[in-house]
Amino acid sequence: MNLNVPLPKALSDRLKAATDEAPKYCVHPDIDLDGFFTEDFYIGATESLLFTFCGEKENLIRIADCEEVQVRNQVDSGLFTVTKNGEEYIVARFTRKHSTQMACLVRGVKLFIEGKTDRVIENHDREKTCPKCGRILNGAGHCPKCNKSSRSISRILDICRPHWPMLGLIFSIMLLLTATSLVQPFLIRWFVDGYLKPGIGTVKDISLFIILYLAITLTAMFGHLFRSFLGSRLGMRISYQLRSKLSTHIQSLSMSFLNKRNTGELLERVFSDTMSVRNFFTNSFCNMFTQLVTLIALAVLMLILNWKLALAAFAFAPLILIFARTFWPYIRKIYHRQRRKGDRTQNKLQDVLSGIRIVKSYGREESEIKQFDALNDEFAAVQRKNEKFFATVFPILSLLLSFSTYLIVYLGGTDVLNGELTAGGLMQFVSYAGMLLGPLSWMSFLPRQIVNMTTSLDRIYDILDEKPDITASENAVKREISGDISIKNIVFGYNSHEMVLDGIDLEVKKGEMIGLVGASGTGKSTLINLIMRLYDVTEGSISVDGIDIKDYDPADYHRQIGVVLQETFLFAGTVLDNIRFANPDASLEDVIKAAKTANAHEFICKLPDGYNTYVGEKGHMLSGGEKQRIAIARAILGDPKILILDEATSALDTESEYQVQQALERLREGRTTFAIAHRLSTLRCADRIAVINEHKIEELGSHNDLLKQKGIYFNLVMAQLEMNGRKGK
Amino acid sequence: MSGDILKDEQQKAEQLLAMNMLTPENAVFRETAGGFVAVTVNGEDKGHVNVIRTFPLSDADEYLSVRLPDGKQEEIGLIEKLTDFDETTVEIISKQLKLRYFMPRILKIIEVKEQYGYTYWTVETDKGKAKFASSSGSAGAVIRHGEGAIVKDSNENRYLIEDISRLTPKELKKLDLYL
Repeated sequence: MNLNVPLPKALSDRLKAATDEAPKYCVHPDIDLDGFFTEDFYIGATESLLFTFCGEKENLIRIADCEEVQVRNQVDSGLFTVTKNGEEYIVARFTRKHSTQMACLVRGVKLFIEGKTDRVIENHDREKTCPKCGRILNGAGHCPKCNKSSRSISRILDICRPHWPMLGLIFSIMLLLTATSLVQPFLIRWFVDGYLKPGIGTVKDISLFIILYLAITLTAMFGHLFRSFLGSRLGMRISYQLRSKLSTHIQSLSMSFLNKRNTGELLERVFSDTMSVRNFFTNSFCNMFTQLVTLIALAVLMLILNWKLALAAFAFAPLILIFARTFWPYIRKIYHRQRRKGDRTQNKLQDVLSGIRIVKSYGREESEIKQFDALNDEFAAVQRKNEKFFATVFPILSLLLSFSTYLIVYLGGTDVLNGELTAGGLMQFVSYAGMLLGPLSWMSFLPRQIVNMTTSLDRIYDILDEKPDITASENAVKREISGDISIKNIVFGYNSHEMVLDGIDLEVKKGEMIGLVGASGTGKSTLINLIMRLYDVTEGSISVDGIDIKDYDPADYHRQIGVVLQETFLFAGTVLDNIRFANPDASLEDVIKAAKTANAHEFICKLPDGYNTYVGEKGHMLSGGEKQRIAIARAILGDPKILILDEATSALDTESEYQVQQALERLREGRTTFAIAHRLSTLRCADRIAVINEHKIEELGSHNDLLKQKGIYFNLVMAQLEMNGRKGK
Repeated sequence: MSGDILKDEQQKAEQLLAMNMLTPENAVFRETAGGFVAVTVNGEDKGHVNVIRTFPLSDADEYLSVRLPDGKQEEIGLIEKLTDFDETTVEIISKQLKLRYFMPRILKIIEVKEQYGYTYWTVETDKGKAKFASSSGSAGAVIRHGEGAIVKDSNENRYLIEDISRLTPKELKKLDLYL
C-alpha cells in the first residue's frame, strides 16, 4: 500500500517553501475536517514537519512540538490527533478507506518524535482499488477492466486444451445435426413437388419418402443424444478439474487469506462457480458455433430460394431481438424478486423454529405468526403477479410472432397462385422461417451466458491467482529442530492498522515450559500463531535454534510442532485415522503406545469397534475429555519438538481433567512447551509464566517469583482462589 | 488481602449498575481548545470525555453515554435528553457527535451499475457527491432499516437512505434489485 502519495505540484511547492525535506509519508484522505467528501485533503510528514493541506488552508506543525500523535477510532471513521502543550487537537479525519494508511502514518510520525528518523514504516498490504479506473481489484491484485486483455479467452483456451479431441467430435456432430435439420424441408419440397401429384407419384414413392424422412429424424435423434452425452461429460471433466485445482490451492493458502474469506464464500466458489462454468461448457459452448452456422446457412438458403419472402421473414427478426432484450431481463428480475421474498419468508420461519423455546416461553407465538403471515402475504402477492404476467404476456407474444408465418403464407401463397413458386417450395420456406426463431433468440442470450461464465471464471481465478504469503524460501532449511526459541521485538496485527502484539521479547530454552496468561484478546493465541508460523510477523523475528523460522521449510517446520487446543476437532474417520493424522506411516504398535501414554487406550478399547470406531461429525459421540486424549495421542505420535497447549484442559470436568493433565505431563517431557490457560492452577508446573497485557509482556518469571512481585499475576491468582473459596461455601 | 480484591470487584460491579444521570444541575460541559468535550460533574473535573449515542439509529439524541476516552472507557453518566441542556452545551456535544458518527445520508441516487462482481454507486449525499463500490454477493450490501436502508461499501463505510418511499420511481428502479 502506498504510504507516500505524491503531492500535486502546487502543494509540493508550498511545502518546499516551508522545508527542504521531502515528504516521507503522505496520505490523501477522502473527507475534510467537517466530514465533507473532498479530493483536496492531504496529510503527511517530513522528518521534522507534519503537514496538512486542504485547498488554500494549510496546517504545518513542527514534529519537535508534538508530544503525541494518535488515531482515535470513531464509528465508521477516525480522527488523527496531535497533542501539543498538553492539549489534543484534531488534525485530520478519514473514513475506513484510509484507516491503514493513517495508522501507518501515526507509527511513522511517532518514530520521528522519538528521533528515529532513519526508520520508515512500510506496508505490504495490497491496494484495494485500481489506480487507473478506481475499480475494486480482484484477489490477485489485478483490475478486472484494465487488465482484461483477452485473459478470459486465454483462460478458456487453457481449460479446453486437454479436451481438444472431445471438442472436435462434438463440433462434428453439431455440424451434422445442422445439416439434417436443413435437409428435411428440402426433402418435403422434393416430395411434394415431384411425387405428390395424381398420376405421377406411387405408393412406393410415399413409402420411400417416409423411410428417408424417418432415417434423417433417427440420425438427428441419435446425434442429439450423443452430443448431450459428450457435452455433459466435457462439462463434468472441466468442472472436476477446476474443483480439484481450487481445493488444493485453497489448502495451500495462508491463514491470513483464509481468515479474510468466510467458509461459505469459498465453498460457493468451489461448487457453484465451477457448476456455472460446467453449465456453460455443457450447454452453450458447443452450441455457440452451430447456432451461428445454422443462422448463416438459413439466411443464405432463404435468400436463394426467394429473396422477397426472405426479406419479409427477416423483417420480424428485430421483433424477436427486441423481445429477447427487453423481456428476459425483466423476467429475470421479477423471478429474482420472487426468490428473495421466498428466502425472507423461509428465513423468518427458520428463525422462529430455531428459537421456538424462547418464543413459547415468552408467549410470543401470536406476534411471530403475524410477522410471518405478513411476509408470506407479500411472497404470495409477488408470485400471483408473476404468474399473471406469464399467463398474459406469452400468448400475446406467440400470437405476434406467428404473424410472420401468416405474412409469408400470404405473400408466398400469391406467388404459388401466380406460378412463381411451387407448393413444396412454400412449405420448405415456411419451415425455414420457423427455424429462424431458434438461433436468433438463442444468440440474444449469448452475451448474458458468456458474462455469467466469465464472472464465475474470474471468481475462480481470483482464488487460483492468489499467492500464499507463507512459502518456502529458495534455500529453505529442512532439519530436526532441537527447541531453543528466541523471540525478538516482534510487532504484529491481523490488520495492519491494529496492532495485537507490540514489541514482544522472549528467550526460551529447549524443554522449557512457558505459561501464557492474560485477559481475552490480549494476544496470547496470536503469539502462539506466530510461533507456529501460521502468520508472519510484521516486524522483528522469531528464531528456532538460531535460525529464523522464515528460513525453514514450512511443511517440515509444521511437522515438528504438536498442538492440543481447547476444542479438539476430529475429522470424519476412525479413531485410528485421527491419531495417525500427524504421522500417517506410524505402525499400529506406535499408535497403541501413543494412546497409552495419552491415557486413551483404555476407553478406546471399550468402544464397539476399538481403534476402528468411526468418529467425527456423524460418528460415535466422544466426550470432551476423550477427544482431548485422542488429540494428545495424535501429538505424541508426531513426536513434536515444540508443543502448543491452548486451553487444553479448560472445557473438562475434574475427573477427565486429571487424566488429560497426566497425559499432558508425559507428552511435555523434553519438549519446548507453550501453554495458555485461564485456570492458573494448571500452569503451576510451568518453568516461567509470561503475563501479556496491553500487547506486551508485562510480567515474566516463575509462579513463585510472580507471586512475590504482587502484580497482575498475583491479583489474578488471588481472585481465582477467592472465587473457588466462595464456590466451596 | 484477597478479600480486598474481591471487594474492589464488587464495588466496580455495583458502580456499573448505577444509572448516573447527567443533568444541567449536576454536569457542566465545555469545549477544549482542541475541539473535544470536557465535563465537570458535581464539581469534579473529569477532563476530556467521549459522548456516545446508545441508540444512534433510532433515538439519536436520547440516552447519550458520557465516557472517559482512554483505557476501559468507564461511563461517567447518561444524558437522558440532549435538549434538556442549554443551547451552548447542545452545540458543543452535537459538534462532538458529528465527529464521532460518520454515515452520509444519500439524497439522490445518480447511478447504480454492476460490474465484475461489484456494484458501483454514484450518489449525492449530505456530505457531497460520493462514488463507492459494494460487493454484489450474497453478503447483502443493502440492509433494510425501518423505513430506510443502509448501504455498506467495500471499505465497510456506511451510507444511509432515510426513507425508501421518498425516492423517485427512477431511483427506486435502480435500487430495486438490492432491496
